[in-house]
Amino acid sequence: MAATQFVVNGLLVGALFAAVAVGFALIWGVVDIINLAHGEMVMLGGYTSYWVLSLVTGNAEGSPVLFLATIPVAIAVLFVVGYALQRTLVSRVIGTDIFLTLLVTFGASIAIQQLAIQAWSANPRSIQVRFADPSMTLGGIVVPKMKLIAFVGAIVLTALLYVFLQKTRTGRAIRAVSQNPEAAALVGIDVEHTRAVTFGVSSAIAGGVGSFIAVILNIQPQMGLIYTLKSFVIVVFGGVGSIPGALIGGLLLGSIEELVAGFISSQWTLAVTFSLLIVLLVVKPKGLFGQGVEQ
Amino acid sequence: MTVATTPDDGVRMTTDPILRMDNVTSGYGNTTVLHDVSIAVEDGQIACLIGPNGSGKSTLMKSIYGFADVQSGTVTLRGEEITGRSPQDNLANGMSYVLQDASVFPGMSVHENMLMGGYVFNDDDRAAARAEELYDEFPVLGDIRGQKAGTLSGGQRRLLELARALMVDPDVMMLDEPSIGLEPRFIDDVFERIEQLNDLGTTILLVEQNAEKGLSVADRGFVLASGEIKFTGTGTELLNDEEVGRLYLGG
Repeated sequence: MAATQFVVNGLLVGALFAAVAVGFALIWGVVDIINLAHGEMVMLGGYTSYWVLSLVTGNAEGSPVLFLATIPVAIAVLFVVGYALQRTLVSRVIGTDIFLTLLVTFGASIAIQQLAIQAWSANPRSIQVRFADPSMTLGGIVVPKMKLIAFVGAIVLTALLYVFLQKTRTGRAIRAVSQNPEAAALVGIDVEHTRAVTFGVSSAIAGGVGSFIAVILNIQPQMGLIYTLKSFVIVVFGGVGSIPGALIGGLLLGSIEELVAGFISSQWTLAVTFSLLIVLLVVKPKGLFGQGVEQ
Repeated sequence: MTVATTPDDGVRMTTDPILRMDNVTSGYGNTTVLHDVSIAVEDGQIACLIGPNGSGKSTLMKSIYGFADVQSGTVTLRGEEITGRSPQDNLANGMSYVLQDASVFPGMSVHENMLMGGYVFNDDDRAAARAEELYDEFPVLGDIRGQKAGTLSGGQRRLLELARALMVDPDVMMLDEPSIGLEPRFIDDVFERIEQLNDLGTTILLVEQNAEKGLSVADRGFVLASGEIKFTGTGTELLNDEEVGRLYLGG
């Protein structure tokens, strides 16, 4: 029973990791950049919701509906941040040495962290969402309502991204640039704009997830790194460029972490996760589901 | 109006050139590949560009289409200067381009690739309707419309590239090495298509490694070597020219 509870906890949080990783994978696949500032988008999304709620209610507390209403704001703000980051900074180093691209996104991540510390201090903050009854029990498994909402939210964001990529004209342009940038230019796609939109969309999803993180955990300026690292692990689990792969990778990572934390100790989660990553890289270098750039 | 005489089909009325390059020097960044190149392609013609590897044939095409940097000189389409214009503008002006390298989207179906050819329409219904028209002309593609482009044979892929470039119903089509990497039976097939398109009024500028094949269908030929135009003439003239034959046709 304990194991089931741990797995359920893991799946609930894993969906959030997955949604962050999906954006990370999308940027990697389409723009060919490992965006080390991706975790900062989660942080900025969390702060956006926190400040919007504070502005409206006077403190960072509110009903579930009021909290959910802040998420579109976080998504919109982070879309702009991501788009601008690509247009002003990353576009200058695309196609150059990978070390340069890593350095630029790493620099952006440090700069955003430091600015956030200056603006909001290093103290952790969190959003309080008021429930009459904060958790429920399903077949002996305890499910916190807010975590369930966050889980559903993350799945919805990921599913929306999938539909966007498959069904819309912009989504098709993103896939086209991912599969063959030169041919994309040939059919009249503005490749630079499309790359910036990819950055924007991926950052927007990370921002939306950040809002949920601000409720179920907490936010602080230096939280981003762990999400970048987790995204990296998940993408390697799931295979670069596969959205379903990243989703399953995220759920898997969440479950493994909770099982390790539950049965061993939470101090062991990162050690076990990264050891598994190394084993996987040796045994199945293309990831569990990866086959190159599909989505 | 000029009157061009060609030995094979007698006197042929032609209009002013639809596409021309005047004194174009171009390349990539600081590297110069083409030096002072001038060519003129007349409306309704097939023009073929031949020359050894590395002579700048693909760069010439890319200079027309805005994929290479034109350092000096001008490119004009129907008398209007288009030097350095984006592919979006060129497509809107009725000029499409088929790259030498596989330019399909491998993870998309044949049909999605076709729709991408109509991306500049900004209208999915119009793109879908145009794709249906082209499936009538290319039934093979209609039959495999659901198949991923990455799984097609070389011949099918080339057909898809051609058909996709036809989505915008171009007046001018640029084809870079349409026969490269194809089995002989597919080469004839592709050239038959090219001549059919030309009969329907599409002006074609072709780069071809298979020089004899290319010149045999061409109204006008250009020989490019070391980034300069060395010979110009009708396809037949170049095929029969001793020096061209010795230097570039291997005989």
